[in-house]
Amino acid sequence: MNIFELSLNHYLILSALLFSIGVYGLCTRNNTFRVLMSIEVILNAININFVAFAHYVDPIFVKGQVFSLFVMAIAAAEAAIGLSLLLIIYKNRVNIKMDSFNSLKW
Amino acid sequence: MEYLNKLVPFSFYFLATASVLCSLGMIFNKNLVRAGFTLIGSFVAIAGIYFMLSANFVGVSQILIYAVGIVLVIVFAIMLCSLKDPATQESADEDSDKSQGFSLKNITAFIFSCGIFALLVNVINSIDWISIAKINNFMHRDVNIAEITKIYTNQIGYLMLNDYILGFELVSVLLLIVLIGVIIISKKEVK
Repeated sequence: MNIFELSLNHYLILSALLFSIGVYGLCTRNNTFRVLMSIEVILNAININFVAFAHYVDPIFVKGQVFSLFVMAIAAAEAAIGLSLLLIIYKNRVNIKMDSFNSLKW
Repeated sequence: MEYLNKLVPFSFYFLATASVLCSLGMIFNKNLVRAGFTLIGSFVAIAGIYFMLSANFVGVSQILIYAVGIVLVIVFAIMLCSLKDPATQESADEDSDKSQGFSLKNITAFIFSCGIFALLVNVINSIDWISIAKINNFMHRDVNIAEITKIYTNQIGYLMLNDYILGFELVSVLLLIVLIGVIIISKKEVK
């Protein structure tokens, strides 16, 4: 892998790095907002993979770009539902730690 | 224009470093609102990487949807939740100190994520991607790639309304369901 000549491997390794950072945040943080933001970072890492493969492997019919747009729509839906659930839990419990969500009905 | 091509790897390394540092800042910054705004930097750097990969439409959507839409919604939700916890008197918008240090949970998660990264890098480097790309592009040797990057946005619209019409419609139904569901969830009466 040549450092000064970009190839598909550079983008894939960047995506793997962002993915593992997101997994670390997902596992360690106790704050639910930070967990949601880590999920967004993971989805972005996946999107980099889609676009990089579309550019290097399939440059004629860029199908990977279409799927990255689908992933963005799913991420927006996930953030909206997650945040509204989080706000209703906060109104009831005044607490947004992950450890305190041990019951869905109270 | 020759010297501009030599700058392309440096711009990639700049954008990659910016996105990785901003993601790390999102995890390790103590102030939650500041962590949310750090995420904008990460998403804008990733949008720059999309522009480098000649995916203009995806890059613009990344800025519009992620960097402005999702992150600002998250930050507003953080601001709505930033009262003090009455039981423990610690602020709800900050991680307590015990979750930042070297606890068993943090070390285990660090080893786990490093293992995932090592596995992915091993797989990426063990496959010859260039020959796979050559096999795939063998039938289209006569197409000028530099010309075709100009109509990528047209191509996305064509694919969305022809090959992937089912996914497109499903996403629109999903967004409608989310719209109604969010309104119903947040209008719920608090006991």
